[in-house]
Amino acid sequence: MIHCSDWRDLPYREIWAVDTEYYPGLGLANGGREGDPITPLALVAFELRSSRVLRLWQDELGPFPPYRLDADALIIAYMATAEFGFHLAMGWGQPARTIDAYIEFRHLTNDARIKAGDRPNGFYSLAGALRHFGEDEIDLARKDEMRDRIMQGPPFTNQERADILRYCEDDARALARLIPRLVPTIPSLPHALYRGQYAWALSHEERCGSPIDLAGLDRIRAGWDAIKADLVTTIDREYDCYEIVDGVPHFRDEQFLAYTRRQHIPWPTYADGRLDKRAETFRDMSRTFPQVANLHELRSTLAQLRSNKLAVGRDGRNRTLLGPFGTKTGRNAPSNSKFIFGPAKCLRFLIMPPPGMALIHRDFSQQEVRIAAVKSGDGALLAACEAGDVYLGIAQQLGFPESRPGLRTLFKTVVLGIQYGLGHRSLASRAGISLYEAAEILARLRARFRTFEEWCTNTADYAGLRMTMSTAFGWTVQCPPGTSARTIRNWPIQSDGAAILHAASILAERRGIRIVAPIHDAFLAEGPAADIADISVALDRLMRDASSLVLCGYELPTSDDGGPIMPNQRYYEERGENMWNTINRLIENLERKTA
Amino acid sequence: MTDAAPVPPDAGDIAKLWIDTGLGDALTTEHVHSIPIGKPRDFFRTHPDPAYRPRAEIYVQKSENVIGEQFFLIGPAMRGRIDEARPCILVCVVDRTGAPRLWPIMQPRHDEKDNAAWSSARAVAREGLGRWVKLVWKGRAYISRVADQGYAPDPDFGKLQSFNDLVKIAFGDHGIIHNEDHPIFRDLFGKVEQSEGNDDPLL
Repeated sequence: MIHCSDWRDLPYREIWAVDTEYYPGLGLANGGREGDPITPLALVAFELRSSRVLRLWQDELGPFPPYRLDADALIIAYMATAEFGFHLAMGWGQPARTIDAYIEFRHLTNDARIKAGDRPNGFYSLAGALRHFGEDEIDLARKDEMRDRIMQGPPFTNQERADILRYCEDDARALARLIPRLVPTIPSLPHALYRGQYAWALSHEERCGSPIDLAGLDRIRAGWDAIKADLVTTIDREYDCYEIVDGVPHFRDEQFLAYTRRQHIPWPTYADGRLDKRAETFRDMSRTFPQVANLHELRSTLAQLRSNKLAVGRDGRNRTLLGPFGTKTGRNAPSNSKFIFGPAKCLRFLIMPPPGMALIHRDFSQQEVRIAAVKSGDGALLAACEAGDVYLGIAQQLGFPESRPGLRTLFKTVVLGIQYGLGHRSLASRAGISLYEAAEILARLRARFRTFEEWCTNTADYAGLRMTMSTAFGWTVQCPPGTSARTIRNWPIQSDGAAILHAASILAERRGIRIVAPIHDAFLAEGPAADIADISVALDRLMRDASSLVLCGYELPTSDDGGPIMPNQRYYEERGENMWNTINRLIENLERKTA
Repeated sequence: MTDAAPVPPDAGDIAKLWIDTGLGDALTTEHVHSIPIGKPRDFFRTHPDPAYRPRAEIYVQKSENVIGEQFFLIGPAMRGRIDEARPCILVCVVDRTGAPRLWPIMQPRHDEKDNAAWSSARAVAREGLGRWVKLVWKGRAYISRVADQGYAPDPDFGKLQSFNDLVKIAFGDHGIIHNEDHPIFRDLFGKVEQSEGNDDPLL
């Protein structure tokens, strides 16, 4: 590990704080849409050692970047995927050494007790980082105003050009003020540079974007207000949880409570008795009570289409910032409403390869439980994973007959639960089994996979004594007193899953595999239809290589469930199929009526 | 875990960044501070090492004023001195969480006949060497109940302390009757409490 307590000791001749400005496509005022490939507008770079400043407008940008990209120069940006997107749009190369100050600030403030969403607004912005260090902030009102103007696109007056360059320079100088504060907090410089490499790889994925059936999306958007009430009425028929008031559906808690009682579903509640209606609770409960799945999908779809923010450019590509290291575990955190792989599964049917191209969706098979087995060295748990179906494999090891109805669903809940220390009460509630049986299952699990349990205990001891945890690639989380035991148990597994995706993204960029979307433990890749089988094999290889790098030689298996998505085919998502079909039927009815 | 696979040539720089986080390393040691004595109530496995089931002599105190039983091990110098004490096999068994227990299985004295309760208990303990079993009293003897296949895997006996250490923890400082000064011995034989430097003029 190399640590620099002073930025001046950084082993580079030049240290550039870089900020760029760009707008989507032709600019929003000229028919551009959010999701279009970006058009570079301005760049300001401030060299910290010499105080040299480069201010370049659109027409001054050339085929080569205005600063060095070799290993003697360090490029620092705040949310570097944006600056890298600018590089890619200009056809510039990858800087040999990059630090993403945004990622490093997140790293510095990565506290296991605090969810990113619970931070004050703007905490992770450049202004927030400056505020954190007690530095003078930047003018946020002016920033919003300037950003809005830039997004509109050309023409720009001379005054606007001067204002935008000054605004861009202010950000570059603000970043330069942050660097002396931030650099001493970076525990390991090589690992920070590695995270910078990941930002470069991710910027390629952001630039590619998922191909979307734009006509289909526009059709849904056009008819959405007219079909919304009908959609809710159709799906809600079996639930009776919504009330339509003036054509607007309202979810009623008391009706939902009555539904859960009718169905004998022990729905989780808060301490004050209120129903827990969080999306993750609906997701978890849908696993055990599949009858709730359609209601969950309906709520997700209404939320995602209500915001109407899905960022799809005129070229039919869903492009949005993917939020590298946006969570405690280091996983990406793209905007739920802008990203096609947000909570509404039915919208994924809009993903279609463009003519002549094909897509391949490849995910790690049972990634988390395998990581748990490998990290803890629990041979029995690994054997259960290797047996084929891990859920049935574990059920079998615990002596449950395969013929028992709902066995796989039960053990899916169990296996996902052991990763974060699910208690017998929660298991009984989620799986709809008796407390005694839940306790017995967990006791058998603890006895059977005692090496894993011991590893979890050791991890908790480590976190409690050292008050920090780290991945093998240097991403750490602070564990001050008050950190939830569940977080401590789950973090090493989730963060290693994230580390595998980071390594895989970097390898994909190096090997020329065109990733169009990273999805939790999976990738969506694109290539010519004729080559898609080879691309699938190459993707499998690089994902295995990435897992091997993180897990000391263990290659996580991958699968491409339905095979490639060929031209004219749609992405298939079982959990959203019913909703997708219903929406299409209602749109067709609407079109027939209006015709 | 598999042996480390060769690193692909384009991933050598990534592989060099791998650090051992020490997350799963044991930073603490677990100390057992109490070990129950008596017959196991739940499914158990018997320690396969004969050193963990020595012959011993034990006295079971069933005091009028104390709920349950108290077990006292008779030290070598006191063997045969207490009529109420019995020969036994002191068997170490564990439950599925790996927690040990010492189970004194009574044996007949040299002039006594064996009885069904003792011999059947020994048979169940023997069965516990190979599978998870539970003691069930039926009629005038114990029978075994065998656990389902998935109840628990074979225990890891290697983690247990030495038998002597287990005995020390289970019986404690006052649980072994080494000489006539032991309060239980004096109690059994109606001997007067001895205390050094007693200045009570009546004694």
